[in-house]
Amino acid sequence: MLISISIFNKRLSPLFDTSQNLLIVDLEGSQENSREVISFGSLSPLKKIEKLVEKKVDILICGAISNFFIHPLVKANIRVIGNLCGEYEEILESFKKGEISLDKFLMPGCCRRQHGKCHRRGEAMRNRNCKMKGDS
Amino acid sequence: MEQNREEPYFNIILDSIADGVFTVDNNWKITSFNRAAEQITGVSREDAIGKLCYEVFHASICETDCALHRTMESGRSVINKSIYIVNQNGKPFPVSISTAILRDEHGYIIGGVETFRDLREIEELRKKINKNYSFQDIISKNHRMEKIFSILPDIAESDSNVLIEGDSGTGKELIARAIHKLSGRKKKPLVAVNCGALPDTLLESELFGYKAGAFTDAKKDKPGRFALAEGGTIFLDEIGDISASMQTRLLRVIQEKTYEPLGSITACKANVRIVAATNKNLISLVEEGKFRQDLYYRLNVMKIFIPPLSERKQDIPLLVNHFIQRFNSIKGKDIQSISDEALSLLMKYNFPGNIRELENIIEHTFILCKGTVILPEHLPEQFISSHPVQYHKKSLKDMEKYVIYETLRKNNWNKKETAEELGIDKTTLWRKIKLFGLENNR
Repeated sequence: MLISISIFNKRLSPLFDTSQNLLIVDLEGSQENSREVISFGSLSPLKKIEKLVEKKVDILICGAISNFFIHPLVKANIRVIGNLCGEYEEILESFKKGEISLDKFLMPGCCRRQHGKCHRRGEAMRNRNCKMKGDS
Repeated sequence: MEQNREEPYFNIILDSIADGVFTVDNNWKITSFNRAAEQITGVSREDAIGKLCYEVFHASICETDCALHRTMESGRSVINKSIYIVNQNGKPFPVSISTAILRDEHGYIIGGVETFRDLREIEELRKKINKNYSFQDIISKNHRMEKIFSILPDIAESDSNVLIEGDSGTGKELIARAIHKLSGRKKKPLVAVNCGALPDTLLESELFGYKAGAFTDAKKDKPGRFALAEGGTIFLDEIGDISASMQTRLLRVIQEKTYEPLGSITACKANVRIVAATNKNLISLVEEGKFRQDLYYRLNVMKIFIPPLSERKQDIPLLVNHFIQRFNSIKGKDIQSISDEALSLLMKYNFPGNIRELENIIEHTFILCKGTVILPEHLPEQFISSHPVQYHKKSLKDMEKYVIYETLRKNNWNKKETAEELGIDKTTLWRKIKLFGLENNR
């Protein structure tokens, strides 16, 4: 399974839309086969989506992400686990241990934001967004 | 930051203002977060305090060009920078930010402060205003254009021929389309022909069609544009460029409402309304004997003059927003707005190519803009740097270079038209273009 994580120094990139680097990790169960970092920043939004599809990524773990990206990514069968923050190695370790929801890494004030099919369980994930104060 | 007796008062003051305000320490951790910041971001003070600012704010510039970072490095404040932030529901919205350094009593930097203003309401208002200034896909709030809008329905209904005059790129075809759409002919076709783009021989066959065998390559009958426009409207663009013989043919069609396809001896009826357009001063051409007076008066039953963009600069912001929305759909981007600085540069420019030139400039910015706000650096280079021709030098040579350059731009780099306007031979023009290196500034 290919996991992609948008990174910023040692942490998750705060906003996928403008993220500059993408870490792609090849996982087999909890074993990491390989990883690579690709430069992402100069690509337009559509090209970013194309890149993820081209790399055959299964899951995208990221910070905040605009709705603009969600639909085409889900349509391309890429599960999006967004609204996360923290050191990406820590997040990756938790993921390897089977913590699919990763709630403990949620951004301040954020709800869980996941879209797309759960690859591990083969079940469809429901969008669990909730309204926050001040949101229109 | 140290606690002091005045802090509660500062908090009351900060909580009473409409702009979001937060402070960070030297490690980018949030140390204060006012009530408006909570409301705009949707993140509570308790959740925000002690967290990295970019993980609370998640703005378009956090990773690439953080304003606070720039301020704390350079000591210079950032004022009213337009960016966007994405809330936890994935909705991007525009904000305007300003930053400043925080220093202790010894002058040491202890952090930074950022204020931000929610621009959503302003954007909504701007969209509403844009809607109010749109007529049949033509956007303007200029009083001269509004006058045109007010009489267009009557012109359309009259079924009379119309002559539209205006510089290149001012929207003459849009006006023609509006006339057709408002007329009783709207269910029939509107057929457009660029009369300036075709030599006479081709124009004749294009307009009137031909029968099989009319000439060597005419293997079968081909209907002309008049036939295709039957019952509807024909839009003859650049009518001022047609030859004397074509003028004669056209006059006959208008007078007798019939025409003969090439190679045919049978006349076809023409139930077609003619809307003609030109970027030339037709009455001057009539006076010079280059355009038939009788044809002019047949076309000029109703005349509409479209002012150049330089005379209606208040339309620039509306047009920019319109093009942003259009290119967003075409290119799959999500650009929200243009910064005040970039708009200001556009407002100072005279647009010799009018609306078409503005459209090209916005399309150019879409290639360079990776975020959601168009900035000055996304504008074409020759646009934002000093004018490629230094007019202020004022030597005779510089003035000649400037005039030739401006005339070329105005005529979309058409050498024939530029030479005619300048009253010089085409060869002379080519020589001067080479001498001044003007091709490099195209």
